[in-house]
Amino acid sequence: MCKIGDIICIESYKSNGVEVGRHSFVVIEDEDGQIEGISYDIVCNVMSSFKNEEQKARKLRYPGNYALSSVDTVTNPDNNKDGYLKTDQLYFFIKDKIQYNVIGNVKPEIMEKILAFIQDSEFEIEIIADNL
Amino acid sequence: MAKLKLNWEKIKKRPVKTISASEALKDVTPMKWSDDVLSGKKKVVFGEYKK
Repeated sequence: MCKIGDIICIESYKSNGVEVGRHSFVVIEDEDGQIEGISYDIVCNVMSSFKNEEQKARKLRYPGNYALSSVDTVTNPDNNKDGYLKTDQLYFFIKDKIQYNVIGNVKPEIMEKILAFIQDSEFEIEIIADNL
Repeated sequence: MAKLKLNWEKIKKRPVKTISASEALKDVTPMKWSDDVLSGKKKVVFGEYKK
């Protein structure tokens, strides 16, 4: 089970038949729906970390990226205190087809801001549904 | 707090394109979690970005 705001770690899944390695995502939709005529039951944004300060500055200029900080540095290596969500990319999944663990969450008040940011911005939305 | 919900009607009005996961993930630097997080012993919590 996972719900909006959960951070999930997906061990692997298939993209056009090719295995994609472990990535972390934030759940932005937890109700069933259909995309391009195919059923899904969660929608996520992928989380990315920063490689260095120069890359961080560059990534944060991109309109679809939403920066976050860990509120508990004890549980993370120092270099993972910050990260960002690629909110312009919506990943559609069927939970039964992926192997995932809920490893944490985004604070609800920040999640509310993220959802508003996604729906009220004007950037182009990219749909990723090749694992359904 | 009311249940969080994405407004799909707003999303549908936006320019949309479909891409593959491998294309979408090419610029992503995966988060590196401690063993305690990956094993479920500890949970991560993310909040407002602190510059």
